[in-house]
Amino acid sequence: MFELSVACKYLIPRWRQLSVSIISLVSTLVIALVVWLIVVFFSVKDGLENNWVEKIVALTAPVRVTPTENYYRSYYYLIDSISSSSDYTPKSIGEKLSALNSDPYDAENDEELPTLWPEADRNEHGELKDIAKDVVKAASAISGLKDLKISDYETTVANLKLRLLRNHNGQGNPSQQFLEHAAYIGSFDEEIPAMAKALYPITSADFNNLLQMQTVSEDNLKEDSPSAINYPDRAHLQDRLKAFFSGIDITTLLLPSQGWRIPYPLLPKNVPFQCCALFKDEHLTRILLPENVSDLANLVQNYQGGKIVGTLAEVTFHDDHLVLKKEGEMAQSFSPATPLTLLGASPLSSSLIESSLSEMSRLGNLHFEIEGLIQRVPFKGEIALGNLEIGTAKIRETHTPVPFAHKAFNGTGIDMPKNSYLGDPILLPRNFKESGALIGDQGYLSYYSPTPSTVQEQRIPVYVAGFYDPGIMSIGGKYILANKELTALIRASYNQDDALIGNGINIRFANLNEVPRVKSELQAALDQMGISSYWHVETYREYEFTKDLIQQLHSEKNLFSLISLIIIVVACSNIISMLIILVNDKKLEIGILRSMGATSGSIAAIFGLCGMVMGTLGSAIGIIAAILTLHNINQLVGFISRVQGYDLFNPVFYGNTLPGELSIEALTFVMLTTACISLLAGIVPAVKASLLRPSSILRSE
Amino acid sequence: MVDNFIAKPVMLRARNIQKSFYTPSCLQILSGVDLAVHQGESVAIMGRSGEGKSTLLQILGTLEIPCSGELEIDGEAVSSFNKSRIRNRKLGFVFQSFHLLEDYTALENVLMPAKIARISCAPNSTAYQRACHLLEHVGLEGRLHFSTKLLSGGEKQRVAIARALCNDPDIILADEPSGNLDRQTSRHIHSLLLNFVKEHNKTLIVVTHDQELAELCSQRYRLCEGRLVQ
Repeated sequence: MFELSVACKYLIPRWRQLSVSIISLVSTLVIALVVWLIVVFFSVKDGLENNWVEKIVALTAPVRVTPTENYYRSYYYLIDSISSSSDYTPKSIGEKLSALNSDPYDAENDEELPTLWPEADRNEHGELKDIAKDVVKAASAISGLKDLKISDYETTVANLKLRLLRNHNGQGNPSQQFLEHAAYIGSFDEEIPAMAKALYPITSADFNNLLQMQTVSEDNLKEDSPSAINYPDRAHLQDRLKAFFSGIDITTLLLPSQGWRIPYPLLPKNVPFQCCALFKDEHLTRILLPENVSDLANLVQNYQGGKIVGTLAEVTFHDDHLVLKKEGEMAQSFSPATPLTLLGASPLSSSLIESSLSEMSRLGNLHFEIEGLIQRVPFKGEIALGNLEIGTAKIRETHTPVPFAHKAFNGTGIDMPKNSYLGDPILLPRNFKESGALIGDQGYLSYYSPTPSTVQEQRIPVYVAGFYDPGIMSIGGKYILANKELTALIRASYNQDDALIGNGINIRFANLNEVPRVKSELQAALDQMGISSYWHVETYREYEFTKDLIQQLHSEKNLFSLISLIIIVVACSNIISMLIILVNDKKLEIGILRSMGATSGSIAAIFGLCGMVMGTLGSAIGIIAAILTLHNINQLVGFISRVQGYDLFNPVFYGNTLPGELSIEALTFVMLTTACISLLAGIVPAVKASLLRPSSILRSE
Repeated sequence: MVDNFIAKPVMLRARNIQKSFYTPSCLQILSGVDLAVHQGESVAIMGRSGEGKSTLLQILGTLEIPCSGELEIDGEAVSSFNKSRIRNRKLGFVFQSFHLLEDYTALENVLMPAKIARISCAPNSTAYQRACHLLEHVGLEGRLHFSTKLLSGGEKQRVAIARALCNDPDIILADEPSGNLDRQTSRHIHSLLLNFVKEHNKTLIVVTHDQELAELCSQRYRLCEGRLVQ
């Protein structure tokens, strides 16, 4: 295309047209900068929003069906309260779904229906409509969703009291604290695939706490504030630990930061090591073996001028004695009982000696086969756990249940098995983790249950099986997930019309773009069944606790799009001035091209294309820079955080890492907007160029 | 001789061309120019400076719009709708100041009219071969890929002539083609133009002060008080 080739020729920087070259270069760079900024900003923002929405959906569902007031006033709901086969107790939706009989009322045995009793909603065969099961039927019939899952949910309230025991096994200062929190209890559906994304991975501190908690008896756990720490007897402890280690394989052990007194038999024999020998009154008191020889000088320096004096030496271990040789002195032999401290060593690879489980009486007696390095020389052997801590552990390949929540082995969600020693598992939101709770901490959920004469407090023992990230959901910090049975038990003690509790049906699927279709199809199906007055179909954008947030995110997006548009317009406005100068510079060429038959339209197109080429080039540079930035976003954010001394993005809101995926939506927006605006910017100079009369140009030149 | 010309078709016909400039008083430059140029004819238009020779040439070349009058090129009345096409396909311009595109090589300059006409200019195309041939014909076979900035005045004008002939136009309009050249180069340029016209039976209209060039043309006119006289 002749116009494009001429436009590109004009844009090549030339010394002869310095001003145009500088302005076009600056304009292109400004556009690139703006495009970079917008693409990075929107990509990160979209990524964060997607994460937040994913977490909201993980805790709830893309579409929910909840009962309306009509449901609670219906014959279908109320009939359980006067039916003996339902124990005269209204059923939850979950119970309704699992009930064999839709109409539990027996006219012969149950009391007569009250006169002002609601009319039963019956089908054409005169049978009572099972309006809960009909919802499931209608939802199951929605086409095109391979991963559709339908389950009931219950939300209730209870008070959580956790007992945080720390260092009670003779290591450090033992402490006991209590963490009390009124919270929503939501029924947890193990099959939610999205939940696995919100779950925090178990840490080394969690593993150690879990292991420690195996040694504490739960018999006084339900006391208000149990002061005594009860321990199970030896046989009981062994059983607990056997159960614990049947699912967990400890792979590394951490050495204490202040140093580890290494047993003499483990030390590699007949190999010289550099060490710092400590002498008191010229008697050898201890040998310090640092992992890094370069640390020796500092160590020796630390022990100067006091009663204990550090000396650089070489130590060689033999079977029945050790030989210490100080520089310039004769070698001396010492007893192998001399304390030896290993400093700064890497974690020890470890493997539990299963037989020690049957012989131990306390946790420190557990024995492990270990392998490690001292100054790059390997050593291995058997040690007691003592004061070592778990570094890493993994779930055994036997897939034996473990007492913490983890990604399910079959990949469908997460597994959170009940532990017979620790109680019912619960998943806590992130803020509990930040308050110091660890996986394995035990406590109880308390709620008030009415009896015929009084209201009694009930306590159910629970333990922390994991932590999840609730995103930025307003009730996220108070939303505890527990298994369905536990939630149903607590919910049953409250009145159904209590505003704090909820009950309904979750309709889950992965593709959120299908949400509007699912809602409209389900609503239409309920209308057709004649049961829509009993149910309220909501999407995740409409839940009471997410509506404001989602709307706010949407408004922000619109606002930022508008701001971006304005910034792009400002960036592209440079193109106008550059092109006007270019038109003046190229007047003669315009005249020559016209004399050769170029139309005024072609001349306009040349300058219009100049603008578009600049816009496109700027966009391309900006997009490439944005891709590179997004690829290294976390390193970049980390660097800026280090420079300024605090987090650039608060992890509480934004998570530990920022999403670095390029937003296709942002990319399309920026590319289209920049191309259109730069083309528009070229129009004024292009029209000016096309209106120039060739005769006057050629005459004046 | 006259009979011979009458038998040939009229390539350019101008009737009662008038042109005034408003500066701001009205200055009439052309006051009713009539001209008919036949195929194969070479016409020289002479006159004093400021008489309007270049204006007339620009009007004949459709670059300038006359205040009144009619212009036909190859039997087609010129209008604002077909001017660009006529310029591209039927006319070739040679200017006193060469007017080459400085950012392009000699060959690219010659190919430009073909590019404007959307004719393929790939290295094996007919247009490319023709452009090379034209440059060879004007003696610039060794300067095909030279930037025009590096060429001498005579070479530049030869490139301009080759460019004017690129789309094989019927009429060549030359405005003082040797005005900026020395005597010897001028003669070479004149012979190039006239020989080409004769060989290819083209029409040449040249505005010049050069009596020698005018003598070589088959028709000579003088612009005097806004009218053409023989």
